[in-house]
Amino acid sequence: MNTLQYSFSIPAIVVIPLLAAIVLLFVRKSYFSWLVSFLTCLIVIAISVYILIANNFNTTAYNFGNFIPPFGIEYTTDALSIFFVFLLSIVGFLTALWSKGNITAELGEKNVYLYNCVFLLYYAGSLGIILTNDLFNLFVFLEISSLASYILIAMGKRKNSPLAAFDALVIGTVSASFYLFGVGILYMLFGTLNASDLVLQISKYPMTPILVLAITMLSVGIIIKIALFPVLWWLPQTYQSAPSAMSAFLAGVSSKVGIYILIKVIIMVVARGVHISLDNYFELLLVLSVLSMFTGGLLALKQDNLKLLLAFSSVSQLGAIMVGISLFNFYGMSAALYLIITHAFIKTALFLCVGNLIYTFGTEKLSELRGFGPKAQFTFFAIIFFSLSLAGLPGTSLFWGKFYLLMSVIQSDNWFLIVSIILASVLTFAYSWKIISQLWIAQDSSVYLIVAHKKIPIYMNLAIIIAIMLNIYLTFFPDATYYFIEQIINLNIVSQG
Amino acid sequence: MQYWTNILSNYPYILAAMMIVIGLYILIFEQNLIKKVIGMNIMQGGIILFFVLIAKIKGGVSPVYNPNLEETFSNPIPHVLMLTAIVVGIAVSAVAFSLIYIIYKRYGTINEVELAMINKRDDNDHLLLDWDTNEGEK
Repeated sequence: MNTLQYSFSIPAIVVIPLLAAIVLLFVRKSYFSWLVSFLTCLIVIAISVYILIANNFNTTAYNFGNFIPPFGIEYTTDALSIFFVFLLSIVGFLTALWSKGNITAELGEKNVYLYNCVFLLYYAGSLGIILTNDLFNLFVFLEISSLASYILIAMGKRKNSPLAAFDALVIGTVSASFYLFGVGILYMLFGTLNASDLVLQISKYPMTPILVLAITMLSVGIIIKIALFPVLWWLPQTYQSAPSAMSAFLAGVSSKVGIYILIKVIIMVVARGVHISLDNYFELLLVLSVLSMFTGGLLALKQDNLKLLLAFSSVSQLGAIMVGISLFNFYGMSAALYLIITHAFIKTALFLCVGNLIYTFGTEKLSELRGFGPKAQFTFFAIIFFSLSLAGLPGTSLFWGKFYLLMSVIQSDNWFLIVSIILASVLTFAYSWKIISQLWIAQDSSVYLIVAHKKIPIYMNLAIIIAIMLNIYLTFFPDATYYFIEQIINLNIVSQG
Repeated sequence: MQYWTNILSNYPYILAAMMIVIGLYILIFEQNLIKKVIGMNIMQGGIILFFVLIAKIKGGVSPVYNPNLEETFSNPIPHVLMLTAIVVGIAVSAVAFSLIYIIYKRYGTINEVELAMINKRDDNDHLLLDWDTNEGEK
């Protein structure tokens, strides 16, 4: 294990957003608060680039209070966590940039500081989940980020926003409680909370029913957090009722953090430690993912509300990502990680475009938005670009993820899976085409559209332009990202297993 | 017989499990939102009880180091962890109650079924509310 020259840069990733959030509570200036949250995202990107360059994909640890790892809280960075920190901070950067133009109009001048403050808390909580190596600490950060997200959802201007936030709160608390119960059983059996130590302890222990109970509890908690098949109803309404900037951030990040917890706790700790093979477990996960792929896709197809459509599409895409992860081999995992990063950028950008539409026309219903093209040309072309990317057409960034996924499924030689992946891709294309056709081809009711704001602030368009550039980069130069993903799998997931 | 005495001597674990199940039941089947929060708290209480139980060692004393005595100590770590978990639970309840307060102000009811009916009738697709005027004290 290498050591960094400035090892405090690891906790700094979590501490800086937390401190910034506290500062914002006392300095309630709207421009200042935006500047702080924007700069925080940039600083986190800078620190993670520093760690990546100084450390070259190796694992590094920081011990709080100099306690030796199994006893104290330990923060580690490895290739996987740096990957997710990048993902989070780039999505956070995009939404923070975009929110400069929008959040004053949506929430009012005097609530801007509050939004930025809670946004930073959510950001810090998610970063903490990714960096900590201590399972109980992970629970605490899970609750910090979830509490912040409930407040942000309740801030939305719809009538049902607090109701959606309450639903998310109940579900989120149940998920965290199940996770905590699983951690409790693991602590009872092995007497340690440190993830790296837990791998060693589990490998010394025979498989017993009580360990199965622990794995079940952890999995139930994590599956609720990811919003896989049986518990997916709470996710779309939270995306719909949050403020536009926040639904973009949630869509990009929240479920991906859940997937990170799954990789960290189940794959990197439990599956590495136990003596029996977890094939049956991953098969069950595979069935749930395929079901959620189809449920999300079919429900997306019948939505008229653009935000709901995109949210159900998120559920479907998460199913596809989970298919890759539950195949549990090199190609499936790399496809899943590539899908995670491309889907995060595309879905965030699409939610930002919908935010543009809400800002301009005050509506997000497809039936009311027909033929708006000439009135908001930039948003119109951006939506077409991102919808085609979401459909995974050849020549867009999501295509590579879908391609890798199909390759890995073909390798696994499971005909049922091959057919379902192809059918789900067709479904994705269908609802992407629904967006494009409603906005572009049908031009009858555009006379009823009222333009609330003619001019879109430059920050909003700038964020979408940066997202387009990121997508073009991922489309034509996937090599660097793919190399990164290969390193993650070789160093963190496969080799030590 | 041995089997049953084993189970009976571990009755606090059964209590913890019962609290978790009762909490979940209340959470799912009660229609009143405040009762849901109560169910949530009972469930968390069950988990906290479970953590405190695994710290207990028979004949263990409180873990204060005394060089003159050789004693078994109870494990202090779960207690410390549960202090954090209790604080987290309080924060969750606080947010939940403030959300219920806003919901009651907006809808005039905190019954889940009635809320779902009102929600179905309403148009939630548009930005209807003025964030500042519809909430808080007047």
